[in-house]
Amino acid sequence: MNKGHGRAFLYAILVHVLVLLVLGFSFDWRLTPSSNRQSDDKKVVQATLVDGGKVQKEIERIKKKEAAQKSAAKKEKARLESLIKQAALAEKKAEKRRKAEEKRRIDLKKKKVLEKKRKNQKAKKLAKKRKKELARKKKQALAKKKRKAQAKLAAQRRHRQAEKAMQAQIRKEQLQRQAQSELNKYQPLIRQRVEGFWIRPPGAKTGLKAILRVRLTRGGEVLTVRVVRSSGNAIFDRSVENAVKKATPLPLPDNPELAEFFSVIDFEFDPQ
Amino acid sequence: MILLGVGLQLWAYQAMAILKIEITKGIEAGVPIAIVPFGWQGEGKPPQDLAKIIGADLNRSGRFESLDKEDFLSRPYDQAGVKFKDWRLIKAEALAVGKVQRVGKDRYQVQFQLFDVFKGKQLAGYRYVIKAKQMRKVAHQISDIIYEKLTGEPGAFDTRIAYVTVEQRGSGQRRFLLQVADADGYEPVTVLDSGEPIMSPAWSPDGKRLAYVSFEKRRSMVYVQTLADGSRKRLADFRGLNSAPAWSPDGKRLALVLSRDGNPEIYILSPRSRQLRRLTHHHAIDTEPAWSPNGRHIVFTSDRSGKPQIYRISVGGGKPQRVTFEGEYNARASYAADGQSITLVSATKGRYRIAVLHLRRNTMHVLTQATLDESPSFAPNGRMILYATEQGGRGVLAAVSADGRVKQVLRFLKGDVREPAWSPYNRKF
Repeated sequence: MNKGHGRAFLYAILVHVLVLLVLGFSFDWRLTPSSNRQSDDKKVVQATLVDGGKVQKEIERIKKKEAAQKSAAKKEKARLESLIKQAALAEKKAEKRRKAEEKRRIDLKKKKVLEKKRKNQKAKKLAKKRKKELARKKKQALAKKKRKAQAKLAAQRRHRQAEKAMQAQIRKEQLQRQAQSELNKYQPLIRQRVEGFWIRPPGAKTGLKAILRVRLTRGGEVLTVRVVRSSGNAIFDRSVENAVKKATPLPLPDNPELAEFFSVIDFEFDPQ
Repeated sequence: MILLGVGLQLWAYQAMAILKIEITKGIEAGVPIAIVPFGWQGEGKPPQDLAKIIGADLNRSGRFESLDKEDFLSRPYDQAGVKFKDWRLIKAEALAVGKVQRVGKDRYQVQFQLFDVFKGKQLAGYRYVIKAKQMRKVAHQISDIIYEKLTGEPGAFDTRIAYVTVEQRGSGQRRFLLQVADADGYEPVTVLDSGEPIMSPAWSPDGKRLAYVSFEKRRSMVYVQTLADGSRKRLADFRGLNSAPAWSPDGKRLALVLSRDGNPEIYILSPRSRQLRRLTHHHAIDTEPAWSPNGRHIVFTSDRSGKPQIYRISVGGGKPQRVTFEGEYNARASYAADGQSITLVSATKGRYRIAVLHLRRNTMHVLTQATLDESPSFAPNGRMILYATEQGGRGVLAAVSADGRVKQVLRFLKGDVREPAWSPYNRKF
């Protein structure tokens, strides 16, 4: 397309030049053939030479005319040449300009393409970013939802636990009430059993008193016996410790939950 | 939530509130002790069954109940074999194990260990190398160790008793024997053999001598005999009655009853200086003096109120104070080593029984239920009383725990045994 265009351009310029040339030589054009014909007719003309001086003069004038013509031609030629040259230059310049234009255009196009590409990329990036953001938001939302659900679950669990604890508490209170009645029932039984095993040292002074802290299994087995308050008399202390240890197992309620209330007993030995 | 918290606190508080149980009474029983038959390393049979002797000693005291060996789940003879669980199961509080080993001609090594079963630890461990004839004595010593470790008081098993045995020999002849035996009645030794009555043996505080009344001269005279060599001295041969000698706690004087002034009165005699001092002055019969452990008082029997009762008088003299008011008849008083109580014969409706009178509280506690109990004397630790009683028509000796709970008749193979006296703590003689 460029080339065709360029060639057309070139032809146009050539036509112009030719027109210019025709116009420029139009005067001379009429003269030139005569002169040519004259030169062609020289022999003929020469043959008709009539007056020497006048002929000479004529010759001179012709000669002058020819030289002028020649110089004019020369001038014309140079002018033409210069014109061509100028045209070529112009052409070249135009070409250059054209090329520059072309380049600029291409560059522009390229730039545009690039721009477009960049824009595209940017858009893509943006889209991607948006997508990502969206995903993140979605994820967040999901997590939030999940957290909420978990919190709800936890709350439910806590509630259940609290309820359970409350129930346990109620149960324990029930047990305590039961234990109180069991206590009233078992305390004398435990006392009797320990008394039945306590061999009071007859030599011991009166007024001796000792307190033992006794830990029991739920089955009533004596686990540990600790002298919380000594009587100050080793024999007396031993007698009461042995009393409790021999009394194992102590009678406790069968219900292990109730027996729990009897897991620690302080025995105060205070002989009357 | 707050309510729950309060509830929990309450619960915690109530869980912390420890159940209290007050024990005000126990049982009167012996401490259950397992005495495992001693191991024996030697030929034939061991010279003595130590476990049996120890068990009998401890049982007699009333403070222990020697458990039946048939109930034992194991029979260890040293610590390595002891499984405390076995003994807790049969509720033994203490466990004694030991072994006898023949280590030479008439030489035996006796080893014994005492354990607190519930604490699972050794309380005592001893080893002796002895002759066969010392076997019983060692058994009694072991009994004393056990007794002391478990009661906190000294035992009185390795002590002796003096008494009079009346033997019927052929052709209606009666022999009166003054004898000394181990506190369980075993190993009797005759100190004096007489065709005439012997009465009122009394131990010197050092346990080396016996004062007694002998009728060998056809009338009562007071003699003092040294046990180690059998040597004796006539202490009192005053006109009239010479009876009821009693040593002062320092062993320097004797209280006795003399009727040299016409009526039985209490006198104090210092053998070394031959000084005699009359303590009582009453037309009634004053007899059976006994010294308080601090040596400041003498208790005696007097019928100055019409019937025999116990009176107390200062050794320096003065007006006697009546001590007994309960019962128709109270006689033959003697002090416990702590001076807090006296044992005596108390009779109501013709039944003569052994009783203990607590002096400060002035309470009388009758210990025996027979009808003819007599001559009570405290063991040196004050925890048992030796007395004479009748069984199957013959006199025997018996021991009763000071709380009256355990009584046991001592084993005597023959004769009529009476007038016992418990020695002080044993000292070698």
